Amino acid sequence: MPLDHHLFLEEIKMAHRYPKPLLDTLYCLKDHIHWEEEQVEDDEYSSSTTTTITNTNTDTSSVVFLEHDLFWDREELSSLLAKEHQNQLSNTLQKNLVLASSRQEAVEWILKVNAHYSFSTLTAVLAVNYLDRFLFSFRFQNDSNNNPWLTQLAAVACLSLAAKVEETHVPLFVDLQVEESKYLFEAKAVNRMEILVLSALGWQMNPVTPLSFLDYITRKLGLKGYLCLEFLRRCETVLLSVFAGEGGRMLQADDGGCVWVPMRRENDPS
Amino acid sequence: MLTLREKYYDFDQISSKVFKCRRDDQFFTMKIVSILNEENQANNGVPYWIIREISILKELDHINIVRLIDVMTDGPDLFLVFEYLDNEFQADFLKNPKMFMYPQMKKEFLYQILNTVAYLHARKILLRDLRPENILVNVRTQVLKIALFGAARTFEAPLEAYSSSVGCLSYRSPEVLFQFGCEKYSTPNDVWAVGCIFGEMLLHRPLFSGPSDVELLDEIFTLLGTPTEETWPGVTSICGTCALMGPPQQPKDLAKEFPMLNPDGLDLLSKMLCLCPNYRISAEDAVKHPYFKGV
Repeated sequence: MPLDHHLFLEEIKMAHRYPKPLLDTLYCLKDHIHWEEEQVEDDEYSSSTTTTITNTNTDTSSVVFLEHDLFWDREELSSLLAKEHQNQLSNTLQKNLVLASSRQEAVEWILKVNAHYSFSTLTAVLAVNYLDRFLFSFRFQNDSNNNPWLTQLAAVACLSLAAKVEETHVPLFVDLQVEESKYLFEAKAVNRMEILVLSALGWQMNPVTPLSFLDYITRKLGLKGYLCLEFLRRCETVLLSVFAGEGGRMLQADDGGCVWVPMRRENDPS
Repeated sequence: MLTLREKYYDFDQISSKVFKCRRDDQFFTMKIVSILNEENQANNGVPYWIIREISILKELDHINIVRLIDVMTDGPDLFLVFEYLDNEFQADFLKNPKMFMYPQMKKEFLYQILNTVAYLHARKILLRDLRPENILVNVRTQVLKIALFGAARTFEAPLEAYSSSVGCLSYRSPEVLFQFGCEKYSTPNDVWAVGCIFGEMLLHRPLFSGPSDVELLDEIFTLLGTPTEETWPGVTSICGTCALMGPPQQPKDLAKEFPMLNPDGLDLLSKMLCLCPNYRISAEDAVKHPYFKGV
């Protein structure tokens, strides 16, 4: 009940911020996801110990699924749901406006560099995920009041790590800091921050993200070729606009399910 | 947070960068990896392959996979703490003589390998380098362990998309051999490797051992026949040059090549060594194959 109430408030906020088409696009199927979850839990093949590696890439040569890849079924969904955990940074940000501000700047910087290098959407999603988990784990509240540059340094390290996990080509630290920022960090500092972030996150660098669910849902729909590419591209655009449009919003992994029904309607050939 | 030496003690060197150590009454294997050497520091920090591999290993929890329990940093070094496997676990399981004394043991171990591969594939993780050297067995308890960081491959060296080592080639699938240097792996490649291991268990020698891609493909086609558009739709567009195909060959009778194998075993082997990746049996289906009835 509290969760439903929270979601309702979220929808009200969305209605005030965006024109109707985007709101329609973001039609939420939270209940649908829960129903799916119940189904999976009843299944005797469900596993409580699961992990997932995500690689949603819109490059044409990568979106050609072998038939085997279309049959990762129930266990995969239960794997995603079991691995997902609640992001608790929201409350922290509400109490620390300075941190919220520097986080917002860091997220904006990540998105700009991501676009500059044409990194994948997943790289951006991962980088923001790392940053949020890092900020929460270190409870930066006190430090950030005095050292806003620390959040920016963490952002550089997180984007570098995300690119290493997901991209085939990773720019040098100096080249990565291509967009305007108040600070420019030397390689040595980013190096040490990378290790600090990795340790703080327990080296768990493949979290469940909204794209994990999109990847699963796309294959369940049986989309292939151009239709698959177009579907993924639109979903990714929506997800990035949510990142950029609402400061401080924590993007939950299964928000990926909210964007697909209208997309499906548009893509239906019939 | 406890430092390395506060958390672990009683270090006992096993090899140049591998130690046995203890915490309370439990033993662990610790592996040292240098990550902040001058080259890394001057360039780009923690190498991508270390991040990717540790991240995957950290999330796996399966009885047949050597568990990575802890990761610690100390100055320029990374310390990977794995579960300890005592002397009863012997590496390169196909060289263990007891493997050949009890036929049922082969079936048990094959089942464990396939079960592990199915577990990984359900999580969209590819092994890509499955071979006997990376597999340890305890013949007393009949438990098998796959070391995802194989002893045959040092952790310090970056992973090559395509290794030229003879040992590695023996377990490459035809679709990978056709596309030299291609990184578009998928799950059927791992199943092919298991099929090669299955054949090796039966013959006591590698199923395919050619020293180059071309020779390896020739051995594969000698046994299984040259692929055609009928047996492998799309093969002519995958095949880089016609030379890789060689002259057309007919498949041999697997029953005569593997006389020790019963019909269910032959069926499973032929499905794992199906040339066309789309038609090859999945690990998930393989563990349910009648050959494993009673395991």
